[in-house]
Amino acid sequence: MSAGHAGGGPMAPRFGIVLLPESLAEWPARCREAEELGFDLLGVADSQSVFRELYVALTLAALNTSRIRLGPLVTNPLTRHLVVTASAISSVDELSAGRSMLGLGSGDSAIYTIGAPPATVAGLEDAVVTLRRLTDGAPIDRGGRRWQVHRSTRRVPIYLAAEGPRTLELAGRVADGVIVGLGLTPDVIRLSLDAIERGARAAGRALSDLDVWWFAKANVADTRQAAVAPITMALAASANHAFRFTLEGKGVPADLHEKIRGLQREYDAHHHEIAGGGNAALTDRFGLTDFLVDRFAIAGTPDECAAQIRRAVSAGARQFVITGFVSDVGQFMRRWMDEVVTTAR
Amino acid sequence: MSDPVRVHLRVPGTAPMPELMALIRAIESAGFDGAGILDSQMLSRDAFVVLGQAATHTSRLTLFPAVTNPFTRHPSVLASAIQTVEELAPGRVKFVIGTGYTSASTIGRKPATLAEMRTCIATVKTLLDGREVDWNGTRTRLSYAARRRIPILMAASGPKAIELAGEVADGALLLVGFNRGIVETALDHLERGARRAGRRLDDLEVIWAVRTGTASTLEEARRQARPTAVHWGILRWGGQWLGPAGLTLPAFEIPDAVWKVYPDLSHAHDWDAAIAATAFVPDEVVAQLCDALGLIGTPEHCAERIAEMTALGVRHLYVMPFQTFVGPDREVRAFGDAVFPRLRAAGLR
Repeated sequence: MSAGHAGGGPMAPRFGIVLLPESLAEWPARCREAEELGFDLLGVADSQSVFRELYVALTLAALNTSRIRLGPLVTNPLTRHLVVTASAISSVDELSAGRSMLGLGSGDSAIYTIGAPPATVAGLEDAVVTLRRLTDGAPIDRGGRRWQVHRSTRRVPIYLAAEGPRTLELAGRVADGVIVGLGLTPDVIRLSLDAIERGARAAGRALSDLDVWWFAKANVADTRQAAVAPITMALAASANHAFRFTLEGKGVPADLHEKIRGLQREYDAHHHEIAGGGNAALTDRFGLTDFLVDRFAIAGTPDECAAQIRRAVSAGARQFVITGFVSDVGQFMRRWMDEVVTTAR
Repeated sequence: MSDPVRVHLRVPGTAPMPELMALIRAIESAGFDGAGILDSQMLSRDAFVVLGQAATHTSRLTLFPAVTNPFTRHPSVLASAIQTVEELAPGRVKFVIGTGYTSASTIGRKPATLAEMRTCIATVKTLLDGREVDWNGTRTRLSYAARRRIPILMAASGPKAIELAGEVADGALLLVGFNRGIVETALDHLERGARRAGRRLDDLEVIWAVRTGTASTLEEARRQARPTAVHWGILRWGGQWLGPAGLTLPAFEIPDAVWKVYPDLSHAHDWDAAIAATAFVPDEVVAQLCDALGLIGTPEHCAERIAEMTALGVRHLYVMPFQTFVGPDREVRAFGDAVFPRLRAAGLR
């Protein structure tokens, strides 16, 4: 990782940002701004029916930045053949002089919108192992043929997006890093770190061998209400995604299980992460807004956001990758770095 | 002056990205009309990464994947990707899709069936038009479809594929060979397909994919062309075109060395080894194959051959230099310095 920013000591939290390629017109400027503001990681969302093509967006991101790490946050093993993913991320790595990373998950709107089931844990494991070898330029024998892609200057690190104990363990065992999407409350952070560590130990590694990032839906405003309202659809997406297979072992109070199931039944993947989409109202309707904000968001006034960050840091989180599902992403990024991060540090 | 001859060049993404961009700019400066970016995930940089950067580094060149396939990316990803590149290069993009050759063989699968092609082309077209597609009961559209026309061309080499292209695509990229008999036969098939959809040949954009190799002498050009010519005519990858081309060849026993070339004779990493592996075919047979196959000879010879073929209505070429692992720099110079000036002098550009 690159050095921290001015004002950030060795233990100061770092921040990455997920940008949504909803338009290409402002995309290069948005990427440059994320770098100039001091974000350490630029993730690009992959959902082909609503966002511009991932690898073209990453190409422009690489061409318009010089320091920030960048990669898909997250792609999936299903909508592109694994050799295409390996070739594409290696191409981006070459273009960005070794700044790329590959975030991989089981698939959300990218697969729901085409009526496909998400990858299984076993499928994810196979994908990580395969992509690691391929991006290392090493051959794999499959289907009677030898798979091999051109190699960039180095092996591209692979990060697994994980929202449950099994996938967190898998990440600890096979991935280079983790994007934890299970939540930001202290109990959930400890539960997640334990799971990652179990996996790491099973592979003869330590927790410290993994680059762990915590996924947060974020917004900052002059009041908590003004910060939360625009991101309720993103929180509905979190509830739909993080608990879609099971609620067991995920630290969710039992009295909320039925409400979450209700929200999931009505969630519409076509409006995924689109401000003003039909999913925004779901969190209030099911009485889940406060729970979801506490669990998945860093949102509020600058002081409130800083307090939430400090709470997570005290539980063992250090690096946060945030998404601001707001109309003015530039203003959001500036306020975040200028007002929230300086306060939190 | 009759319609000008438009010429696109094949670009394999086998060089590092900065070199590829320098090459693509040189292709634009040399006067080519377009660049087709190889889509073969094992051999090449990612086609859409290269296309995305090329879109921002050129101002005039037409850009297209050459050629993509229906199985390494989901059709919704294909539609998204080409729409995204078109946004960066409005009006300068084509979508060219075929059954997959090295993109299939290198992952151990067979090329797509024509039924898969039909479905994929219809799906991509529907998505680019901004309309919904039904996937297992889930209806989805490309939310940012611009509805500017992106021509969908099907790459085709065999009669049935050509007919399907005529029936379902906006046009065809025909990799069949390049002589009178071949061109006439291919157009017959294309027209047959067009009629099935109530269309005429004139409704279709036709691009002739032409294997090309220039050298300072005809003999050297033919020697360099050996792997491709033998792959086409003796391994009979293009065997069905030998008849229309008027060629009758003696039977050959194929030596093992030929099958050992990776990934195959016509895409060989080691071109000299591939040339050596074709020693079992005599020069006079290679010469016949070269003349039927493409533009193989001195730049002057190639310009004359293009001018001849315009008499058959050929107006649109996709020039494919033989080698996949050596850039097309020689052809960029040959066309810029010698072929294009001659075509201009003949009133063809």
